[in-house]
Amino acid sequence: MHIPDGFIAPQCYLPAYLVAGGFWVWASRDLRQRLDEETIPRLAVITALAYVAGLIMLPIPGGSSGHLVGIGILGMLFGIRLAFLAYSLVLLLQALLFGAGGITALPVNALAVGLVGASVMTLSMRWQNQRYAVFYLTTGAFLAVVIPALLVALVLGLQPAIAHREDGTPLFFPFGPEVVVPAILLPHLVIGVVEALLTLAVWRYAKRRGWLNA
Amino acid sequence: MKFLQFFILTMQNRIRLIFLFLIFTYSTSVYPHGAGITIDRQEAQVISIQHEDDTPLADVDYELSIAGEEWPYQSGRTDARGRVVFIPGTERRWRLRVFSADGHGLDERFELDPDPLPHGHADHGVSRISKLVLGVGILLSVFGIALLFARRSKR
Repeated sequence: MHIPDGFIAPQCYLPAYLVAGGFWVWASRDLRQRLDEETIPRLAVITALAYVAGLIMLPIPGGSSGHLVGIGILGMLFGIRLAFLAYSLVLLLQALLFGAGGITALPVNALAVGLVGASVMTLSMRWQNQRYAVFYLTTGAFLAVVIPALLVALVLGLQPAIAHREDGTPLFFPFGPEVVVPAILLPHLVIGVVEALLTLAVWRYAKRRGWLNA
Repeated sequence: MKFLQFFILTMQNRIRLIFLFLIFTYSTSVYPHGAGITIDRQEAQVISIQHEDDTPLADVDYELSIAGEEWPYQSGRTDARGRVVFIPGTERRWRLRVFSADGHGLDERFELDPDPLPHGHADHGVSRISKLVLGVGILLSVFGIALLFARRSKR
């Protein structure tokens, strides 16, 4: 789901940096109060899990491949602000060390996956009721992958219209939304299911340990 | 006398001659629009592009440009083994952009070896597993420092 460098026009990523910068400041406020001795080791382990999961390519039926995201687990355990910050750190490391996702695309990836993904998961946890807890949880984790994938696809699909040469040939990502939305969304439906199952496994473990009430 | 009359052009014959001249002139001007080929041997560069799991990035769009130039030098689709083949000539600095419809791809600037001998070279940087471990190390260090600050502020 990471957008690499050179795919997004400056007209798109410069405003995205401004918006993401605002959200990074918002997420960092009162960080000292929210990070205690119990939360930090858990956050470290889950962030490392998201980092590793994002780099292991899994084969998807149809010949494509994809990777897990881990934003559902981060959102479930730590809420929007910490999950957004932690996932932004994951994206930064993946971009710097592996070139998976780019520095210019970082704010778009962080906003779409980190902020929107964590928000979807956190809201589904808030609306969760005891009777249908598993349904809310798995649906939330599934949508926390699929909705950001749709957003990333729309941002990419808009690039030919945003930046092109005089003859109309695109300067950056060349495919329109009619091509890129199904190409990105369909594999992420499968990834979303796997991510929901992984989130469910972590939720059961976290529930036994009492992490969810912390 | 009859023999001489044969060479004397009537008005009607002049028009016919001009018409024939125009037809022949036009047919020779059509000739350069045809296509021809020249076959010779030249040094080509082969770039192989892979997914992160080392499978070839086959049949995806690419755009190869001389560094700093807006218009591409060559564009097309990678072959079944994820390769781009091009003849660089004297140009050394290049930019390759590869776009897959599912959002994968790359934007790579590279410089060709001035040595014309066909030595292959690959990116032998830090291995993937080393980078993975390095990343986990950096993450744990960042959170370790945060933990130290959390403990200090508690005191």
